Amino acid sequence: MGLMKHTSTSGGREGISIVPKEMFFDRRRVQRAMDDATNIALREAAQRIRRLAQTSMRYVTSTAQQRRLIREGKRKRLTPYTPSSPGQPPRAVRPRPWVRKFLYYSYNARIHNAVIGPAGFPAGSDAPHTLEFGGRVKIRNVRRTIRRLGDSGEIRVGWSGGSTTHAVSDARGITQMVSYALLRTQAQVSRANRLQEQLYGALERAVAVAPRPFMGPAMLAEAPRMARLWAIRSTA
Amino acid sequence: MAAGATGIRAGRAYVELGVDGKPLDAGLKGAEARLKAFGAGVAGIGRGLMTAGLAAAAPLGLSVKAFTGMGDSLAKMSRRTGVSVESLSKLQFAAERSGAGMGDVEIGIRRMQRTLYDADRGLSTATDALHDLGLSMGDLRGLAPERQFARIAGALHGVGDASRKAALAQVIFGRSGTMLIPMIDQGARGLERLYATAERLGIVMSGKDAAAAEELSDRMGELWMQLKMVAFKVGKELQPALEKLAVSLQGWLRGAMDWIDRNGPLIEGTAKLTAGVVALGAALYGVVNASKAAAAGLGAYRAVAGFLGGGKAAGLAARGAGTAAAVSAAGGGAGAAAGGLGAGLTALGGFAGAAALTATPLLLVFGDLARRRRAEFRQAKAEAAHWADYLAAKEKGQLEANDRAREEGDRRRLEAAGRLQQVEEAIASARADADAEEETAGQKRIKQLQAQMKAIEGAFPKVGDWAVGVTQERMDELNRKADAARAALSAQIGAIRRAEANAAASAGLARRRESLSRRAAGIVERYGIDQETADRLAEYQDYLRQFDRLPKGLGDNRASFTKFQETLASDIGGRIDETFRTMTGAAGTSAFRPFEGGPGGGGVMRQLVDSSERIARNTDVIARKIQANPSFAP
Repeated sequence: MGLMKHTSTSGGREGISIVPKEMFFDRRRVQRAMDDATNIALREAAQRIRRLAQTSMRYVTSTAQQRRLIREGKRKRLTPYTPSSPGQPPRAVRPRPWVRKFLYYSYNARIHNAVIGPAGFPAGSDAPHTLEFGGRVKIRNVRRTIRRLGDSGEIRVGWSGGSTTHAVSDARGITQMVSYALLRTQAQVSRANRLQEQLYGALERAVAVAPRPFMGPAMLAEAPRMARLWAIRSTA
Repeated sequence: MAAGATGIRAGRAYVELGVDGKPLDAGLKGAEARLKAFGAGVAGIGRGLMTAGLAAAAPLGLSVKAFTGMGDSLAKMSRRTGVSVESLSKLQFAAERSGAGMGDVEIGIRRMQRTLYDADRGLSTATDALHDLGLSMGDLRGLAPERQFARIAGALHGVGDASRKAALAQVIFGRSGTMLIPMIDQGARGLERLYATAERLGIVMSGKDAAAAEELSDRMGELWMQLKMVAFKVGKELQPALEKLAVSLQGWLRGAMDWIDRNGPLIEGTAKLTAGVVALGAALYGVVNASKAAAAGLGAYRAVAGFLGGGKAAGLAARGAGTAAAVSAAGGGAGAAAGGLGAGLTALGGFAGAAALTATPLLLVFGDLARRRRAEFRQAKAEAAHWADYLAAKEKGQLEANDRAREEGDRRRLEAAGRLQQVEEAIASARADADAEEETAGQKRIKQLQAQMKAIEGAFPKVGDWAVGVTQERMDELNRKADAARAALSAQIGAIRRAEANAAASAGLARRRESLSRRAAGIVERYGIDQETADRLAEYQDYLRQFDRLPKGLGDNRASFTKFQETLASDIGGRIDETFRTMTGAAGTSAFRPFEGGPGGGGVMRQLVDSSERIARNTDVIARKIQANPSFAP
C-alpha cells in the first residue's frame, strides 16, 4: 500500500511514511507477478501431468523376460500378463517400458507454453501416437523365415517318406508332413519360400490397435486443479 | 525433467498447456483505466474538499490568530501592569468606546503606578497632584491597580477646570493622560456601565482564556522558530554545493570580465546594435500607433458621414470623401510615424555600421563554437545510434544463439534416446556374438595349452639330461670341495696332532730342560757363573716368559701344557739351582768346563742353552699356528 504505518527502530517512535509509487496502479508489476505465477504454475501442472501419465501405465514383465529371469534364478514363477483393455492406459512392459520411461515435459518461459509427452523414439516410430489415438500397425509373422541359398528349407509338403520329413502344424492348425533338404539352387530357395508362405502365411500382417490413451486422461485429471495453482501463487 | 518440445511433439502423443494473456492484458488495462478514472474522481473530490477545507479553515485561522494575538497581548499586559485580564478587557472596551487605545491605557496605568510610588516616597509633585485631587496615599495604598485607576479617574472626573484636569491627568497618567480624559470624564458610574456592557456582550476575556492564548501563541512561536531552523539547516546542507557554485561562478565571471576587457569595442558595438534594434522597435511601434490613429479617424469619419448622408448615393459619396478625408487626416499621424520610422532607421543605420564591424568577430566566434558543438552533438548522436544498434544486434544474436542451442540440445537428446535403443540391441547381438566367440576362444586356448604341454613334455628329457649334467658337475664340484675340505680338515688334524706331538716333545724337552737346569744349577753353584752365562740365563728366562704368554686352547693337551707352564714358572728358580748343582757335581773334576767344548765339559751349558732356544722357537711356532687357526680359539 502507498500509506503504511511503521515503527522506527532508532527512536522507538511510530510514524507514517508514504511511498508515492505504490499509490498508483502498476500494470507492468502486476503482469510480472502474473508471469512468475504462470511460470511456476505451468511447470507444476506439466510435472503433475507427466507423473500422472507415467503412473497410469502399470509396470508388467514380458513372458520372455520372466522366463529369462526364472532361468537366471532371479524369479520364482511365471505370472501371465494381459495387455491393457482398449480405452485404458497401456502397460509398461519390461524390459522395454520406453513409453513410460521416456515421458518428458518441456517448458518455454518466453511464450508460457508447456509440452508433455513421450520423446526420443526412433524416426518413423509411431508407437506413442498409435497407443494414444489407436491405428494400424504391421506385425511380423514369427513363424516365417526367409530361406536363402545354402540354408536347409522346405522342398515338399504331403510326402511322408525320408528321414528329413517332419510333421508340422500350419497356420490353420492342421498337421502337415514337410520334407526338408539343403537348398542348392535359387529355384529351390524360391520353392522353399513359397511353401513357407503356403504353410504359415505372409511375412507381415496389419492389425488394428485400439486407442489406449494415457496423456489425455492425465490432463483431464489435472485440469480441475490447475486454477488453484494460480490462486495459490497469486495470493502468496 | 525436461526434454525438447520438438522431440516431444514428434511423438504425436503430447499434451500442450498454454496461457492466453490477452484477457489478462485487457483486464489489467481496464482496471488501470478504471483506477485512473477513480483517481480522477477522488482527486476532484479531494480538490473540492481541500477548497472547502481551506474556506472553512480561513476564518478558523483568523479566529485563532485573533485569539492568540488578543489573548497573548492581554495576558502579557496583565503581567506587566498587575491588572487582571478581566479588568484589562473591560478597560479596553471602555477606552475604545472613548476613542483611546489599549496602549494608552497601559501607559497610563504604568505612569499612574510610578506616580503613586513617588507619592508614597513623599515626592511633592506626586503628593501635590493627589492632594489637588482630594486624595492621599492612605486612600490608595493596598488597592488593586484597577481600583486605584478607578479612584483616580473618579477624582479627575470631579475637577471642573478642563485645563487643570488635563494637567493633573498628565501628571498622574503621563502623556497618555490626555487621551484617557474622555474615558475618565464618564466618571466612575459611566465606567461601571461600560464594564457592565462589556460583560453583557461577552467580550470580557477571562484570565484562563488569556493564559491559554498565551500558551498557544508561545507554541506557535516555537513552531515558527523550528520551521525557520529547518530552513536554516537546509541552507546549511546546501552551503558546500552553493559555495562551490559561487566559486566556479566567480571564476567564470572573472574570465568574462577579462574577456570584456579584451573585447571592449565588441561590447560597445553590441550595445549600439541593441540600441538600434530598440530604436527600430520604437519606430515600428510608432507606425502601428499611427495606423491605429488613422483607422480610428476613418471609422469616425465613416460614422459621421453615414449619420449625415442617409442615402446610398450619399453614402457612396460620403465613403469616397471619407476615404479622402481619412487619407488627409491620417496624413498627420502617418507623417509622424514616418518621422519616427525615419529617425529609427537613421539611428539604426548609424549604429548598424559599427555594430556590423564589431559584431562580425563575435558572430564568427559564436558561429565557430556553434558549429563545433553541432559537430560534437552529431558525433555523439551517431555513436549513441551505433551502440544502440550494436546492443540490439547483440541481444538479437544472443536470443538466436539461445534458440539454436536449445534446438541443438533437443536434437542431441533425441539422438541420444534413439541411440540408446540401438545400443541395447547392439549389446544383445554383441552378447550373443561374444558367447560364440568366447566358446571359440576357449577352444583355441585349450589347443594352445595342449600344444604347450606337448612342447613341455618333449622338452622334459632334454631338461633331465641337462639337469643330470648340471647335477653331476655340481656333485663333482661338491665332491672336490668335500675332498678339499676333508684334506684341509686332515691337514688341520695333522697340524693338531703335530702340535700335540710338538707339545709332547716340548714336554719332553721341558723335562730334559729341567734335568739340564738342575745340572746347570749345580754347576753354577759349584763354579760360579760369569756375566755371559748370566745374560744367557736371562735370555732363557725371557723365552720362558714368552712361553707363559702362549694362548690357551690346545684341547686335551692344554691342561698338561698349562700345568707344565705353571710348574716351570713356579719352580724355575729351584730347577735352575738344581741344574747348577747337577752341573757342579758333574764338574767335580777340573776338566769340567761347562761352556767350553772338549772332552772335559762337552759344552753342556752350550747344549742346554741351544736346546732351550730351540724349545722356545718351537714353542713360538706352535703358538703362532694355534693363533692362526680359529678352530682352536678358546
